[in-house]
Amino acid sequence: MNAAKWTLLIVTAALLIYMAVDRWRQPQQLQRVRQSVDRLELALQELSRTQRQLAEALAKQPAVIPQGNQPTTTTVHAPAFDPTVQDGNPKLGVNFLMPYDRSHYHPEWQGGTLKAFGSTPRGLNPLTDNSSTSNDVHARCNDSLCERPATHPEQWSANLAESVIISDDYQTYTFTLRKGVRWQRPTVASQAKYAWLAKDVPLTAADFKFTLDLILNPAVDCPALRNYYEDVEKVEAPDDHTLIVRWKRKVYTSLSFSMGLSPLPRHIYGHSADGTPIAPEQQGVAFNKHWFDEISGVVGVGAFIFEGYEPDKVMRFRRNPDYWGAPLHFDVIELNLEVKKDDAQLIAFKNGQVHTHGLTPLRYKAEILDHKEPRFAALDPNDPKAGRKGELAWTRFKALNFSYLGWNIRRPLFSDKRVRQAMSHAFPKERIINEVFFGLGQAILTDVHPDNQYANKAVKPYAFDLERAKVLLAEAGWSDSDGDGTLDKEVDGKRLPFRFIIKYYSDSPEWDNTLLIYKNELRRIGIDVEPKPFQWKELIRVYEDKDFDAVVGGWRMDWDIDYYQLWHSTQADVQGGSNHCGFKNARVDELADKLRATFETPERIAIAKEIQAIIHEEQPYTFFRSGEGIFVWQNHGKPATDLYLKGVTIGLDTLHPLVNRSAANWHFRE
Amino acid sequence: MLAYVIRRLLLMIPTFIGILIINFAVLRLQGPTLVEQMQVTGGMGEGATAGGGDRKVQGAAKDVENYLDRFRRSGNDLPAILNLRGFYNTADYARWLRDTVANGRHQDKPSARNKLEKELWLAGPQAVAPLVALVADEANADIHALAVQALTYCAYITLNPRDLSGLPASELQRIQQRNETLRNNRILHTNTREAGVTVVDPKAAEKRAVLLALFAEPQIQAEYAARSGGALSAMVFNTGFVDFMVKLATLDLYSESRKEYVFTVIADRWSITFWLNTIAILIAWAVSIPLGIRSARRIGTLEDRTTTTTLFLAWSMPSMFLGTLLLYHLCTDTAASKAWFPNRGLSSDGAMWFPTGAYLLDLLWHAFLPLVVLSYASFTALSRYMRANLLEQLDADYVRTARAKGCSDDTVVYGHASRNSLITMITLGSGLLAELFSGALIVELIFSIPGLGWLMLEAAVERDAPLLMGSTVISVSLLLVGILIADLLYAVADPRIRSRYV
Amino acid sequence: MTDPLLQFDDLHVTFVLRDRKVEAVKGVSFTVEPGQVVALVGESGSGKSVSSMSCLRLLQEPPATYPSGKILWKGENILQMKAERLRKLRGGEIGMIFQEPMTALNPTWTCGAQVAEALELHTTLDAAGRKARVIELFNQVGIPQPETRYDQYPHELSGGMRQRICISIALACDPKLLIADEPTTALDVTIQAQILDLIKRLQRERGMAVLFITHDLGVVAELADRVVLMRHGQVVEQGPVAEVYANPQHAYTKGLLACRPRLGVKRDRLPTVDDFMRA
Repeated sequence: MNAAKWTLLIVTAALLIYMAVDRWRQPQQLQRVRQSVDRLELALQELSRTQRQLAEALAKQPAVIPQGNQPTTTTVHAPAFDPTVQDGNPKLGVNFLMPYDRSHYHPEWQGGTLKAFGSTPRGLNPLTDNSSTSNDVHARCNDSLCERPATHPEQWSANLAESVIISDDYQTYTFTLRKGVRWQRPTVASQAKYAWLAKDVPLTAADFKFTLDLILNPAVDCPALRNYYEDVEKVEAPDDHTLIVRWKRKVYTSLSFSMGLSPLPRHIYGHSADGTPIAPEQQGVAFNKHWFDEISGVVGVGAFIFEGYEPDKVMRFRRNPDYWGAPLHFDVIELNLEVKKDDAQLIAFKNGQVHTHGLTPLRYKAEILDHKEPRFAALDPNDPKAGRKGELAWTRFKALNFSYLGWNIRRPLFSDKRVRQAMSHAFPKERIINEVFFGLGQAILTDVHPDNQYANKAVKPYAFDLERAKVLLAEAGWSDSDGDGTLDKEVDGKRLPFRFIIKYYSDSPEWDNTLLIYKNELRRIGIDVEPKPFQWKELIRVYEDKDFDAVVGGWRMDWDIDYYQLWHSTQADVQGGSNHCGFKNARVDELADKLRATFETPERIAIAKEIQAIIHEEQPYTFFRSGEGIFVWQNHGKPATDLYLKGVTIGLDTLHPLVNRSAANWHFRE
Repeated sequence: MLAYVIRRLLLMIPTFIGILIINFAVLRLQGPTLVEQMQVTGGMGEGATAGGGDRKVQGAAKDVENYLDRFRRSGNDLPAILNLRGFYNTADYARWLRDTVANGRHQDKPSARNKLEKELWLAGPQAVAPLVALVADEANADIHALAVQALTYCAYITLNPRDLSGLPASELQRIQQRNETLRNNRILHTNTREAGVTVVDPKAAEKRAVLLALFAEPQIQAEYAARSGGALSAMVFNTGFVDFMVKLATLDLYSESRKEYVFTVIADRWSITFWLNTIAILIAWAVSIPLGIRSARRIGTLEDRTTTTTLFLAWSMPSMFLGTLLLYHLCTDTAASKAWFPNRGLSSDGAMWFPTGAYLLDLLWHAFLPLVVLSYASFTALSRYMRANLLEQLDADYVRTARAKGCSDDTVVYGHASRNSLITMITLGSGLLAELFSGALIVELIFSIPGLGWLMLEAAVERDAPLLMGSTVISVSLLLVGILIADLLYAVADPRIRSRYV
Repeated sequence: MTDPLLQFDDLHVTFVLRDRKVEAVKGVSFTVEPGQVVALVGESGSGKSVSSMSCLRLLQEPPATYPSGKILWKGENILQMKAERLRKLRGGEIGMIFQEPMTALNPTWTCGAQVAEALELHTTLDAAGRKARVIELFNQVGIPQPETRYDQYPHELSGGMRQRICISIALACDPKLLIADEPTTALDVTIQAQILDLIKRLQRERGMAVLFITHDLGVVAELADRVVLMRHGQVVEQGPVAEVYANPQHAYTKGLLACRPRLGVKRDRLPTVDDFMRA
């Protein structure tokens, strides 16, 4: 074929493609227009509703003129606010909740769209879908009875519950709910099919009872959650604003489980798609596959309304204009679901497509310490806030988790506490944190973070001291009797060399390096260790079979301390217990049981500190470090008309050091 | 021709089923076990970084029924290919149970015992009759507690969402009551190394009696016999694979972890992968063939040697590496300048509203780098093969005849030699299709394009068997169609094959 | 005496390989007059195929070089012709058929199309005209059912048929000279006879010259007017057939002629050329 024929062919093909694409786009565009129109309609409806409410409020109380974005109802505290009583620490018989704090909210800063990364949720049922994504969505859109405010996370403040009274036997919680809180209207309410949802429904105690009944219903697919609430004896809602939860036993964990409860909309989950109520015996099974989850509906009483998501594209939240509390300053939050890979996410952040992101230690080293990205401000050892000055700002934040090396006390190698102490003396914590983690992370001595009120700061650290380690090992009976460079000891008539395998999680280059450094140090005092990597699945089996000499691991930390699960001797041998190392100490058992039943914070702190001292002495774990990450955000915009997150720097300084920086109260500034 | 096509299509079916069986068996070999499902509570796998892990929930073994439901709904409770459970008798189950006792066969391995015990619970209706006999037999008093527990789980009936709407209310109630009875009559016990199985339930004897009475009723026995089917038929038909094929045929594949029907999820994504791959193949061919021909005509020259070297250098770069490199250098805004190419997706924000011409250009701009990364690896293979083939053809006799006829060099190369060398190239081309599907995953990851490859990766990581098998079905079908097209092209291109086979 | 059609004038052909040079033809001179049948005879490796292919410059030029000598076609030196002129020469003025008919045709083209291509290259006939001419040619070369054969592919025909197709390709544009490079060596004896008859007939009908390359002396006797004997790249003897056969001058020729096995003659040992060359 000659050139003319080829050109003709190509031109025809191009024309055909053009026409096909044109035709194909039209229905998509139409659908998008329709969606926009729906959203406009919804917004108009809300506007007219707000207008009506304003008019009503004006008619009722002409002296009070609610302004713009402040909550339209005010609440009245019956007793006066007494700061010695209402300090957020649990007490019996009185309301100890701190009052709700609105001071961080400024109406003049309201506005803007926050863009961040998210992941596509797999199911949004509040109870049965236990994924972190689903929990995040519900946390944004819903509230709990009481809250741990970001400035004082060790205490409790009023939230949906204005007051809570704990009975003298520590087993009954009586909540008084805030009045005037309304459920959000689901976005589908604008459709004719769901017109029965287009009404205002107030939040009542019955919603909480409904929630707890569902959790305890064995047919509902939420076994982990049910486990937490298994000791609940009964739940009562004598009137719309009073909720009584009674527990079978006095146990401290009942506090956070009761106060942290979030309600479910009874008017939606208790009804089928056409509005008819579901029979109580069908409720459990129907809940597992509810029509509201099928349409990805999420409804709460929180600051943001879930607008919906396009899988692998975007997830949107819209500010709830009807919110009873002090919201975040954004009008819209958009989570980018498209970019999933690490590298691509960082580049999207640098290109300004999202406002916030996080960096792993290796990236921190590459981008900031090695200065690959000039827009990040350089590290300045004298100024901890140096990172905030760059065009792209960064800051360190502490994570509530820690890692450790665990020693199997049941085995002859590590049964003597002096040996375990020697292992801790031989572990160069500071050096590893500086070299392997580039200074990120904090050396910890107990399983409580030093910034937490429960931390026992009086324990003396096991400094890196090889000489002291040698002395301790000699005391425990280890010496190099056959001159082969490795310590050994006579155990049960046999010569046992000090040689063992430490098992760790294979997917972590940091652990590879850490254990390599440790191995070298141990060699110098005559101990042979072989680090062996395992896949996560196999490591779980190792934990379960307690089949290790030494193992590495990590745990999440919490604001509340409970020593039962990790350190009680009953947990050492039971199947599925978390006390892998076989730690058994009668005093710790006694204290752990006592702690479980103690509610008053000063007493709890004292007990916890004593336990920590004992554990520190016994060293079943060599505690290593608590995690730390890098949080980055857009500080300056290009073009200058774009708004960027200046507000973060303001919010950052008022937060408790252990609170995740994503909880900072942000807003856009120029 | 039509007969040939039909014959080939019919031959594809056993190939298809064979591939699916192998895939299914391999997937199941390391698929999620009940034990793992119950241990992994809420994303524990990712929790084990240098940071922390979740404090494990105590006694998570309690609400096994929910996990059983999930397993049964996705067909994971049935053995993969062959179901021999129907042939187990009471003695087999007794032995099985004794192995799960703490001082039994797996004394030092709680994990192995755990796994064994949970496997027994998955046995379902087929285990009911033997277990009832076991419980009734006094000689097995040491494992009665375990047997009762196993029996209650095997006899537990899972309600599907279809059942909720399909069955009459009385039936539903009866089933729920039965499940309730089973739940309430589990004997509490401990299983320790020292003491073996110790019953801690004061009402143990009553519970056992209740259960035996329940299962003594003939209609209940009949019901479970009906549910389990005869041993022989169950061997083939009560298997995971048959279950999967039935669900596939009725398009009923449901992904538990995504709470969506598998083909809905795939339908959203497959067209992007399909188009990307097709266009990448076309580009690969469009670039490689002329390149190969040009190299063959200028064999031995500097141009030929440089081209070969460059192509091999390009081929030795893995696509992940090249993609990330391109992303980093061409797609990142630096302090000084804006990026040349976009860093994600296939369309800009608001591209929906561009006029069609601008939309197409925008699409091209977005798809350029992904297509380059997808197709560059094929350039080398295709063009070098073309070159070698063409050189071979140019030595052939008919080329000499053509030259003797007076054909110009161009006519000889394009009109005569190329047509013959393309025949061998078609074989190579159909192999490309398979490679491209895996390559598409990397491109989708790096350039954030939501497609089938990424879906399959997520399904594999989450061990989501229905979704993975569904995606496999799609990609295998496309592959087979591709091979069929290659065969048809053979027939079109080579008259010798046409007359022999068609 | 008319001008010779084709004249080899001290032709040298050297193959330049990477490490050495091979002189295939070392000074060959003979002529072909219009209407004459010249047989080029020699063993394998004597340089006869190389010489004949040089007529149409079918050898790959980089290894093959022409250090000296000329091949004159009607006075024009083929070795120095430009590409355009060469293309007109090939097929339009000189036709060539080759040894292996099984592989000489393009398997993916129909027979008719391949012949028609020759016409397309050198004539101004339109498609219908070409097809008619092809059918005519098929009739001339003795292919039965030419219309069916037009649309058939080479693999559907036997060796003899294919050679006929090749002949029709070569003759499509009425060339003045037909070069036949051992066209019957690969065919069996009966087909061989047919093809030779065909060539004889066509030569007589069209009055064209034929340069016939063979190693079979019997064929030479049947077909040729003149014979040129080559050995090791040089012409050892040439002349009219009858003369050369009756009165061979060169030892090589004598040896060739004497080495033919003859029925009815009993010998203990077959003589070889070497016997004669030594003598």
